[in-house]
Amino acid sequence: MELNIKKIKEQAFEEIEEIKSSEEWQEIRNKYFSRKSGELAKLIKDVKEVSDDLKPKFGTLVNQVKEEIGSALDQKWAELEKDQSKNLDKDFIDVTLNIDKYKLGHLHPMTQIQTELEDIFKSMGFMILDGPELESDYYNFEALNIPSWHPARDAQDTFYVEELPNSGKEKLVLRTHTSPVQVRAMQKYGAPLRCVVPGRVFRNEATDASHDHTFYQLEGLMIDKDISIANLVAVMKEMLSAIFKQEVKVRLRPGYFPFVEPGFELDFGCLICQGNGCSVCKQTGWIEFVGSGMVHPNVLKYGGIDPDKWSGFAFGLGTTRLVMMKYSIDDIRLLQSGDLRFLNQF
Amino acid sequence: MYISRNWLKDFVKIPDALSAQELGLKLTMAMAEVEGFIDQKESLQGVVVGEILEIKKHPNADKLKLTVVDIDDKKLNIVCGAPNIAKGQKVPVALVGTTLANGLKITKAKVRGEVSEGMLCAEDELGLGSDHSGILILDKKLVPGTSLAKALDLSDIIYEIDNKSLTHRPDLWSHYGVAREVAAILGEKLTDYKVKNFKDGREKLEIKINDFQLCPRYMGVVLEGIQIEESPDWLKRRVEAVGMRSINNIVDITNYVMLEIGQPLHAFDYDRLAGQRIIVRTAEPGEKIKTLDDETRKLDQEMMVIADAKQPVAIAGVMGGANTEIDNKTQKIIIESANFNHVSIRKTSAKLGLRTEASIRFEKSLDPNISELGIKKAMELILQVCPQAKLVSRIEDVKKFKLAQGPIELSFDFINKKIGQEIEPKKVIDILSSLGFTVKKKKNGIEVTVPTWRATKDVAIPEDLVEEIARIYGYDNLEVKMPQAAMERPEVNKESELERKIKNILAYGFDMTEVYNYSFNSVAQISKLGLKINQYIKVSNPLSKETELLRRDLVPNLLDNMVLNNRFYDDISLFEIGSTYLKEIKAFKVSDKQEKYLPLQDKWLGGVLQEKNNDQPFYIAKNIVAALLNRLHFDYKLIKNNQLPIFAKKSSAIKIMINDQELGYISELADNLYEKLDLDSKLAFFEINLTKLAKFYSDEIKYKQIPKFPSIDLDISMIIDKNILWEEVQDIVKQTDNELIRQVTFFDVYEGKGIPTGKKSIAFRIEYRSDNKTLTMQEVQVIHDKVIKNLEKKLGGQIRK
Repeated sequence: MELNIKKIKEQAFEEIEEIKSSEEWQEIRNKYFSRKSGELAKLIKDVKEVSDDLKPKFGTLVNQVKEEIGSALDQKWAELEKDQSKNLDKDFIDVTLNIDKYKLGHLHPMTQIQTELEDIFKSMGFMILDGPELESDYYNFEALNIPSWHPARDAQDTFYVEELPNSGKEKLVLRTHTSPVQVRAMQKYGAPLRCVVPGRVFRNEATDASHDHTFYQLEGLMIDKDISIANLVAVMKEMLSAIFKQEVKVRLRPGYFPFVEPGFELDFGCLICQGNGCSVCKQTGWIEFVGSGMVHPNVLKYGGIDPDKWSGFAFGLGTTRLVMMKYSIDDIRLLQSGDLRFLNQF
Repeated sequence: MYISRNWLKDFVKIPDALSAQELGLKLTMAMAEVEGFIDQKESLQGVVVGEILEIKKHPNADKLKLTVVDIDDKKLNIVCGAPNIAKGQKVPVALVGTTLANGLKITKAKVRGEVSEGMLCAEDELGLGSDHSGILILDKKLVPGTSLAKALDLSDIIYEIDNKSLTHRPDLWSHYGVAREVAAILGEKLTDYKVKNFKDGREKLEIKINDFQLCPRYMGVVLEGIQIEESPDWLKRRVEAVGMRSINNIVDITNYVMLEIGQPLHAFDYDRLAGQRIIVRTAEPGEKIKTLDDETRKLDQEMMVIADAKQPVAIAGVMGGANTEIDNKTQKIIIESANFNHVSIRKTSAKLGLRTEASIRFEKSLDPNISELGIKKAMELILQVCPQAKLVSRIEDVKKFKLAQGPIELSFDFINKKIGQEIEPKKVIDILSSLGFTVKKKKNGIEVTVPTWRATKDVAIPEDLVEEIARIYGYDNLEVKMPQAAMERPEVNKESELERKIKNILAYGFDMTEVYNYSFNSVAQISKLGLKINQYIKVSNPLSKETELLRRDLVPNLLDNMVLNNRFYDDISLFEIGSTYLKEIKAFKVSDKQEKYLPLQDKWLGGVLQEKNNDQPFYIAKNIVAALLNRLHFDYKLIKNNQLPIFAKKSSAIKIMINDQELGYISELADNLYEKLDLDSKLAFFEINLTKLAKFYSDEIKYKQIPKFPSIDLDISMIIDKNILWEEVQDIVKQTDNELIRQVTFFDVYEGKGIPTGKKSIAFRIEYRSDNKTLTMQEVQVIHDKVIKNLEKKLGGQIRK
């Protein structure tokens, strides 16, 4: 018995010495340490068969050998690890160097925000629509309950274009808001209707860091049976919570837009100061963000929808403003500058 | 517009416990946006009355003076630069530690080496007016050390209301109108607006209105014994508190009445009026008038004027004329209190670029009934301020108008459904009554008569009344409720889906960066590229040269992007997706009522790129387009092309065919433009009509079986004429055996050493494969020999062995 133990130990040491790879190491380890068929397991079985008075002696011996083989294996593993790095000096590379074979371009921040918004609205069952940027006076103003004499036209400095043969006497304007698509959508799809219109709008005004003649809005429209002010608030709250990825507070106050009645300004609770007042919300705790209201019956009629059967709400928000808020951009003109020093940041 | 809290208190009880901020918030939430307020007491904290005891020259500065100012408990040394100070004057002193209304913080400082322990203030620095010409000189009787607010009896709170949010509310352009809202919001009672009646004088004032549509009402009265002088303090303070300048007693009274009830008034010098008649008419061709601001203005036949027997004496509802202006010599006046058509006033004011307090109000469509209140209130005040004045005519009143006061019928069910919450019928009636509506209860609803001041266009339909009820009820008191709607899937917008995919592929697959450019081009930009200006849609009122034309292609602006970015980057690759505007092609209808059309506004994808050391960027552009169209599974062909925009290089051009329709091109910049645009690196670009492309787009992919049998690849290298296109080579190869030749892949082209001039060496690989069996080399060799023979025959090619 004793001899056998010694033999196994010597054999193990010899074999461990010969190990060249981690696969061999694993094999040898299994050979001795496998619980069922390992050499050591066999020895332990043998110990059980010797007479009781000899058991402690052999038991201790086997354990000792087990430990010795184990530590020899550990030592070998460490050697193997060292060996893998043997060629370090020969194959030295400067890992702090960079190559730029793989690069990614950048999507415009407006695209990124718009995509996010579209996904939110799609998930709430809204269609994504678009409409002409060069629009008729009719859709941009008239059909939105803004006749030619209306003072609301003063607030929207409008780009007009020359008279064109195909357009007859109709004045053409660069749309001052995305709202013309409301009526176009009603005429095309009728009621019920749920859609949003992200898009480019224009105001003929002098530009500076916070004003540009071109910017982006997102218009929304929901028409169904018995749509109420309470519904509008609920949907807006949900929408803003989705945009800001947290529960937001909203408040409604009177606002005037000729194509809705009643009309509202919708504010959300400032997320920076949690409503306590800070420079971003001008100490009010609220940020004015969405113009909204119940679609004016005249507008429904222009859209070919019976206001006695259907009602709805509409809303609009400034996506350019959202982008500027989100990334703390301090000059609106950067957005359409095509300057890579700006665009590469997104 | 500014609103004084003290003035409101003339008509409605406002509890003192309601803070300035709280009242402001209530108005914002129920009426219109309050942009801010000034609490006079608070804003003048730390400012006291001081007496100038001494004035000395500043040793180090010519324009500065050293003063010693007594503020009762102390004498302060203050450095001052104002020209108007003198010994013995009483002046406002801002003490160290004070923050002024304009945000300036007063600290103890050395000014050019001399200590200054405070500041003497001008009117504007105190938020009391706009004057900055010198220090505000106070009444001599005031006691030094008294707080300025107390000394001037300033205890008001002035609210600033956003004018834009009052666009639709003619009734809110006055203190009485706002007081009515405050009463409704606070549940207080509004004091009736009372005016006195007067005994008519004997003189006649002739008034003629040519068109009652333009002028529904004109009231006039003649007063004499007028003495033009400075206004009494109470009057001055009221008009100044809300941001108007005090001019003289009569002008101030007309302004006072306007600010109080919203009726603009005008005072003419009676003796300067030819024929002592008033005619309301439109201007004659060529007529001119010099207005009160000393500008001579040309009038047109659409503009309404007030004329005397000879000439216009005022632009109706906008501004009076200088020829009948009242001045210190005036003794006899006519007070005008009239109503003018809002559209006419707005047009005139817009055409003249002249917006006044009067025109701002008239263009909202005022209630003609307040003309009477206005003229009577003015007379009352004039007789009070000029006790020697006397009414010498009748109060003339020429009028013809009808207001749409309803009644409007609406059911409680309608109200509740629109609001989304049940509101007690009693509450509904109380709210409307508090705003001046007359409400008659019906079986299931109400019948509402609109008060005259809301009946000019503001309130006309049931929805308008819903707003009145909901806002006074309080939007904050509404419970939010999600709409109940059918769960329908939204229709997919194919173009927008495709656009998103393309953007992602180009940015995250091909290292291109997305830009957004304006929809405009400038004339200079377009002519530089050699394009014809007359093809472009012109903006008729551009504010700058950059917005003169609407773009037809994306490339011109992308080229500008290249010029800009060239200063900082060597390798640039940009793309944009945006609309273009073509006037010669019809698209959307201008309305559902007429067969007229908007210009075509297809969306295009444009790309432009350069690499510093690559003088053939064309191949990158082509690679990108092909890979993009391939990835999106379009059936496309890229074919050599000659018809191109003028800024493209004709010899390097491809047209992009999708389902056999030409939807775009790939090219390089025309050679002559590099110098013109100050570009160095060779530049390639492409444009694809995205709107049309979207029509062919589908995300269907049909899987093709993986080949069962192996292929045999054989290479050919041949010398051919330089100008033979790869496309021709490829066609000849393929046509040799359409079935077994699967792919012909180009891999090298070479010109130069070892190759005769005018020739090139081209190398490519042919893949032979059958779907039915494993081809043997012998079988392939037969076809391959045929390929070689065809190439030699058709191209005169010489195969390199």
